[in-house]
Amino acid sequence: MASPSHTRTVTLKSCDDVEFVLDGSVATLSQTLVSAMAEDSSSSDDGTFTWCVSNITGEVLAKVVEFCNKHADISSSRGEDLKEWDKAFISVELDLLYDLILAADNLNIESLLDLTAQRVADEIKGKMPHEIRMLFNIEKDFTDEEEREIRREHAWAYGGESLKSFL
Amino acid sequence: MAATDRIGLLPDDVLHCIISRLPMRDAVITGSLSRRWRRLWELSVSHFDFDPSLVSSAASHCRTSDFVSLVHRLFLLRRNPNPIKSLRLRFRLTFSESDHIDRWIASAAASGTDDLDIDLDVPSSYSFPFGVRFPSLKSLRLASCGIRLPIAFDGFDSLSTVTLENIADLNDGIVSELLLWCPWMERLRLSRCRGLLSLTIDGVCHQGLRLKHLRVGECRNLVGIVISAVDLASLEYYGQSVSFSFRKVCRVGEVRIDFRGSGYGDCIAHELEKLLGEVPEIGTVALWASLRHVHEDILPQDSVGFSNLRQLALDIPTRKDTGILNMIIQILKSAPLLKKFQLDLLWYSGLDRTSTTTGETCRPGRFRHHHLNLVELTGFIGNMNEILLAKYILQTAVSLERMTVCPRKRCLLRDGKSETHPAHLLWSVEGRARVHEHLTPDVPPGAQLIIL
Repeated sequence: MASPSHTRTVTLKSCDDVEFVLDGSVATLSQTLVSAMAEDSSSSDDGTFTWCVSNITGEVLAKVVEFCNKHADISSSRGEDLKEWDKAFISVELDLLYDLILAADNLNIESLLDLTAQRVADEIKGKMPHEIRMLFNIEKDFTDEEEREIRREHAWAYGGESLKSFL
Repeated sequence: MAATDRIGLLPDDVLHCIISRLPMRDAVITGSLSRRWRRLWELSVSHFDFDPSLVSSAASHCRTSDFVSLVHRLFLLRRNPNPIKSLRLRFRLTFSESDHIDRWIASAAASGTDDLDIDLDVPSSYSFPFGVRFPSLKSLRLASCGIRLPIAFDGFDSLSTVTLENIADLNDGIVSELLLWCPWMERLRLSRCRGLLSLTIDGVCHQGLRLKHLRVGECRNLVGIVISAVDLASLEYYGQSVSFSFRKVCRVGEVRIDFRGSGYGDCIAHELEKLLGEVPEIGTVALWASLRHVHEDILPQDSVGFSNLRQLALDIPTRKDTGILNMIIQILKSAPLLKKFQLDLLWYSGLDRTSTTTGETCRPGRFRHHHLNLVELTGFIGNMNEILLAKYILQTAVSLERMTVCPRKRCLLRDGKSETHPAHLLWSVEGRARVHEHLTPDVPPGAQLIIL
């Protein structure tokens, strides 16, 4: 059984066959890779390990690898600088954001999941339901009566807004 | 083509992760987005924030009972295992609601909350349950409630930030106990605690002290603060003038003292002198006070200096007293590394036509400020003393990039209602012209003089 030691390198292969080579220490940010490497008995003696991520494209995987390289680099992973870097990193279109969330979930990278989930939460904060629906293309599949009932249950959360105004 | 609802396709655990980061109100609102979202929040809401807006529509006589039942309902709706990450309770509750409050706090403690904020709005005899164990509490704010530590207080192991406001029975002894038994406390803020007569942060007896940031304000019976804390990085004080004693505060980088609350006090120069002597490594100092008299004999001596001071903000009145002008220049000379200097001046009367300064102090001489590059002089109306000071700086600050002169008062610490008038209304025609005439010839090349 091979261990995810720092001397190994990991090759990540996207669903459209783009390959990324990661240092073993970088790959440990992904719990999925850690488990896979721990279970892997077929790895070659030269210490390489290849993992195919079936549902992530090369474009998205490139961002994920960029994130992991930055966060694994201890010298740069400090305080305010990293926060600034994260902020710039996550300023992406919603479509890419969803892809990053799915990739973070699939590869089980906690820090990336935190960052992406926070970005979505920040988008939701302070908005009214119809604004959130519009932003995320969520279709309202309640009847008006059902929606009125839900709002009545927690009327305080809808503030001064009249219950009728959007029904 | 209709855009797809990609967020709805995300797995439940990801949506939980998103909702758990939302404030309570936003989390609840997600329940009305669509069927997909209908009950997700009940499993994931983690930040509980109960304030009067929850019952704002209720009639005043039933607001408290409505509030209590609403809190109960939201706590009951919470299905395990989603943790209570934070609990904020801000409502006028009295001793008769103690049992409820205790129960809510106990739920939060059991769930491993890391942020508690209990504000009962008006002083209440409710005492926070310090006997409860909070394994992961990091931040605690208590306002308008009682404080009594149990005899066998075990402390809170992970607590790093404590804010106590309007706690009438807080005293020096309780603060010491809290510091002793909460070994990771780095940030302590005390305000409006009228039972606090003196404050001693004793890092000599208490070797494990980690306190880094101390903020004390408006404790109206406080007379003195004694600090020995090797890790202390910043100190902020506002309120009536009190005495300070600094011992072993060798890492303090930033001190902000605001005595303006007391009307006037003659201690600003004294405090500066003490800081010079006791904390020579200090990096940023902001001092605000109103003075009636300044005498040259209480000025800091040239022999000691702020060897590390980079930023200095002072609020000092300008009057006919030459002492003030001399003092400011002496302070500047004692800080060779100073980069940024902000001076907020007070004036009592109209424009002085003449300078009363006859001393040598404001002649530039050979002394040069090599690092001073940003200067802001506010409350500057064109008195001759002010002009002499500005001229002195223009002539000695060889690296000056910008000097801003503005007649408006600027409150640097707790921005007050000072910036109500636009600058141009505050200048007298004569004053502004005089400033132009006197200062423009002295502006060094590369520097900018901004007269607002």
